[in-house]
Amino acid sequence: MLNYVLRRLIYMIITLWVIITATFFLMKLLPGNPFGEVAAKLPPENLAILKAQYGLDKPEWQQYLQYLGNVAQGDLGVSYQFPTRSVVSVIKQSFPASLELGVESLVIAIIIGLTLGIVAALRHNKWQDYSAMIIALIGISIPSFVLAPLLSLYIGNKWGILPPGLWEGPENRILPAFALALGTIATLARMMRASMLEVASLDYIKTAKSKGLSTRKIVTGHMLRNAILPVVTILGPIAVGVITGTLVVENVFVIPGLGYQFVSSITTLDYTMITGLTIFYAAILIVVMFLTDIAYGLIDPRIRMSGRR
Amino acid sequence: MESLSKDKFQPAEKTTNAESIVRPSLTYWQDAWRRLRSNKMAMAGLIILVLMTILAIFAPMFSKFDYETQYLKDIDLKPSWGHFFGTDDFGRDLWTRVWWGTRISLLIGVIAALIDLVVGVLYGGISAYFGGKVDNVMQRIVEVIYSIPLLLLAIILIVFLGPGISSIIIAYALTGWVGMARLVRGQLLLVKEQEFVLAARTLGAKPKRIILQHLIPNVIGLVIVQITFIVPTAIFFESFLSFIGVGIRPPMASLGNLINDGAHYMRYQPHRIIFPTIVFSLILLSFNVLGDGLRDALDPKMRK
Amino acid sequence: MKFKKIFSAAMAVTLAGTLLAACSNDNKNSEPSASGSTGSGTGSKQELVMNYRADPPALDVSIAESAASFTILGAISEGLYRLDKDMNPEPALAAELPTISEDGLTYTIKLRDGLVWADGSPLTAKDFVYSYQRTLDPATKASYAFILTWLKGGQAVQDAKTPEELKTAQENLGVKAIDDKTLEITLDIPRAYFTAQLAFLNYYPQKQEFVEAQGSKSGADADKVLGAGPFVLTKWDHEQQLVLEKNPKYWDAANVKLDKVTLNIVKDTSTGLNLYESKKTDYADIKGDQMKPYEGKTELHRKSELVTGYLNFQQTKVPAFANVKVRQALSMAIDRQGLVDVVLKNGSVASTGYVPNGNSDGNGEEFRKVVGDTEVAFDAAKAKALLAEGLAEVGITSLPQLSVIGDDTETGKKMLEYLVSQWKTNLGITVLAEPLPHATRLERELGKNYTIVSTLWGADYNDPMTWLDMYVSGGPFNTQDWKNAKYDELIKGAEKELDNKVRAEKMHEAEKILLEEAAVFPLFFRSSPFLIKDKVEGLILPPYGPDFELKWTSIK
Repeated sequence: MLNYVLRRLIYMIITLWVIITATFFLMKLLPGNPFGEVAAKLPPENLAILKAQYGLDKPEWQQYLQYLGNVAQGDLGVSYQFPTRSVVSVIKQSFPASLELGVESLVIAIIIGLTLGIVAALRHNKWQDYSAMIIALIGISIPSFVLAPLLSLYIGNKWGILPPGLWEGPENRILPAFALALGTIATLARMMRASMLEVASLDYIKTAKSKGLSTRKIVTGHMLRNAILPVVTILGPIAVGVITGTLVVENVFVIPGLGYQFVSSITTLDYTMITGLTIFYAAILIVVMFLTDIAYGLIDPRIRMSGRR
Repeated sequence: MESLSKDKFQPAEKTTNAESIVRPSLTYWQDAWRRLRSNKMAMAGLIILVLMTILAIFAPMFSKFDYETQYLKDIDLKPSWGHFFGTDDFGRDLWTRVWWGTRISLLIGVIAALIDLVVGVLYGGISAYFGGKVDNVMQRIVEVIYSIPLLLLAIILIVFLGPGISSIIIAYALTGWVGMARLVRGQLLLVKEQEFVLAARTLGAKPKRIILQHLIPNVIGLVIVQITFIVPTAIFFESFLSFIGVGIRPPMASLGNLINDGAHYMRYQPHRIIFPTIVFSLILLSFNVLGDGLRDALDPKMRK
Repeated sequence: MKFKKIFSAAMAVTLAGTLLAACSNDNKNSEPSASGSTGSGTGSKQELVMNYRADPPALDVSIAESAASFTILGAISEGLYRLDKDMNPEPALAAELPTISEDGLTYTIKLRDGLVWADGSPLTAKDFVYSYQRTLDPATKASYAFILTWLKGGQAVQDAKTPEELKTAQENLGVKAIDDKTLEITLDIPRAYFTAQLAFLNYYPQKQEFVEAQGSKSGADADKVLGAGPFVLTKWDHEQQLVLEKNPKYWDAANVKLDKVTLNIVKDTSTGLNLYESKKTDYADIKGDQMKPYEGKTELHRKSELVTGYLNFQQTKVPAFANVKVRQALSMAIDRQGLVDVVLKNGSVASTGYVPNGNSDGNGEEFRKVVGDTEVAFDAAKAKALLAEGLAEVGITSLPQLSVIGDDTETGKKMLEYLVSQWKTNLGITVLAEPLPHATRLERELGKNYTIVSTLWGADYNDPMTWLDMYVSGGPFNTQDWKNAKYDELIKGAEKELDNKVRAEKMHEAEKILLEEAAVFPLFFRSSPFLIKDKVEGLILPPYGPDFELKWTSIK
């Protein structure tokens, strides 16, 4: 186990390094420079001062090494767009909202998604199955940028049930979390249903049935635990997707999260911000995937952490 | 004992054809088709998709209007016999634009899926077939790519490449093939270890035969199913890019930018959002139910 | 430098959306109902909640460059003067209007008695001197330093290479604290609009001790900014919310009615409107198409800005654009009224020149009223003929592949679609629409890496020169590489001219040349719609500089 974890840790670091390198040089390829506006009228000497301040006067490989060193110390640089804000401080400021929204929506998605999936599987090919699956499918067919403004307009404004936006009290959380959860509900419901059906056809369930166990016992005692395994494996990527995918919802419901920061940093060519946020997101993704694998191992006794996956 | 006459030992007459195969012999594909046909949801999805494709191809051809000419006197008309879906804020016929958009969106989805297919299958196949060191290195690469937040990378790429259909396809394909590669490799590794492959090898089957007769058929179902999920994902991806503002170049239409434009007018011009969203959702829905149906139909284990 | 103006102007278009049709006459001063200071706020809670479209970058007097920073700093700090609802300077930190010397170069200004910063420390004339020196110091890298180069010796401070040079230049700078309460400012040339300019952010005072203690973080957070204005910033959650509360130490606190102003950062105008309609906010900026249902209601307010949207044709990349007929043809083929009615729909009016309605001519008149309509009229047939003639003169049969770049915002994209369609219908030429992220568009515009660009300019100060000096040969904002000796001569002449009348005439003449030549093709003068609850009184929406003025606002 320890061996496995160590090995994974090393891979994680290598992966992160590759991502940092790729993003760093990709940024150098992007057209334009972040001083575009200022540079036009600044005398060359002042421009040189400005460049020196951001370390842009050195050869690229030196900038790269410098950047690696800084990242290793947890310093992602200073935003070009907001020279008084460091990337780390922006993350500290904006990420909590995205994280909270992501977690809330994930909880909603898991509860509703798994329930739909289980009901659909237990009532296989009956109307409950069809309606559960149609609900789920609608979830992946309607883009969140249609659903979210719709919720804001009707539930928020016209009917006045919940606030149409802003990030103040608990009542502000419900609409965005739900809007964000819908797609995930669908994925989880379908996965859970397929997995339940697969388990239901296995011999030991037949054995359990023939022993005369009640359906309830079979479902809770035998099926759920086994059926949930494949679902756990995709939970990692899903969680990351939810947390990084908050962009649309943040935009519509006016939530001060990280998703919006990312897009605005791209449109303003804020290099340090783009690089920093990409690395940050990648790090989350890697860590979450790692945790999922560990969790998978803990739930499934058949998997031994012996190295290769 | 002699009393037993030979007569009593007449060979029994064949009365029934117990050995004959009652069910018609079906190839894998015929069988899959038979099962798919019995799946009502999947068939409905298939029919809708065919219908949508036909409309996407022919509706703009037979329309009096084109997707770009502006009729500034006919702005924001509600749906009518002259304009089935109404007009937009430039007086352009929405019926024509929606089907143009469908055409573009489907095109993006299909091309993206084809690229994914070729790259992903080759990569996954090579990785699984050679195994060992090659596999190890190739898998590390996949892991790294998989760990990059794809959406973010794609956005950076689009900004880098400039907006347009080809940029969108490239951005999607560059990041999308990884899932396919992982899937193909996983399935191949699984199949490779199974008894029937071992048996074939023991019987002296050549690698070519093993690949063609055993490996490919066992992977192809999975790949087809995966494609039915990639197409809608790519269409969704395009619409998302439109939302961020880096999608298709105006005045070209795609379902993504029609919906996104429409969303701004949701309050006062609901027809602007309703029609493209319905078409978009139907396409996504159909691909998904069809994919589910295909998964069941192509799974050899489901054969009865 | 002014550059940032394009930036903020563009941000406003993109984020706040844009304009409307209806060239109503009431577009001059569109502050909400009633006058400010008299409305008493007895009884009702003096609290205002507003949507605000952008988080200000830095609230630092020297560095600030966006309208968002101007607006917030205008509430928490103050200059010698403050502009009232008619844009006339009223004495603020100054006790009275300046005493101006005969030659129009020296301004002597008395400060009020007992002025203090919000932290209670005394505010003196030295704080102004420090502020101006700091803004001009090249190390501060202030985008708006150019406005302070109007001071005598200002350019020398900007150009200083060594610490010694800087020190000498700063000592020679045309601003002196005669005593704690008397400030003397000397200009390089007479500027009739200078008193009004003293009301703007760039001429605010700064407290040296405080600014230096903040270092590079000056203006980064609520506790890193110090002003002497009607409000203090008590809370600043970046990208979420700013809270302003009444400053009890303000010299005119008795006339400040509002106790608290909450600004929620809301970038999506649809959600902003939802918040407004569900009574979660008292003020919302909206877009043209959201305006219709409010037409005729007292809640709807329009602000005509000193902002012009226009096209540039790059002449080095497309040699055919050096031909005046080709430029005129492309301009004449665009129906500007249609643009305003179909795309903008927010009260913006089709342009009739480059300097927008409401801009002064530097001689006490309104520029547009004196000069009239100088722009080519929409005429598709004539455009076609001109294009043919022009191409023949250049010696080519057709234009090369053209593309028009612009911002990739909703309105920006719609504008490109409209332009492309107009050229196709009226001129039969195919131009590609190329929407780009704002920073990329700007980069390509300034790098002259475009064939046609759709862009915006906003006035930095209320004088035609803020518009016209852009197009002298070789100027950094003359990105289309247009050259005209006569024009250069007129502008250079006007810059040195001491007689305001002659100066104004030179600028009138220059604009006529600019437009006759179709060197630049103006499309519209921008106006923006806002919704403000009727209970809000005395909120001023000035045509340039800050987005709104809160000092005289009260709740009915």
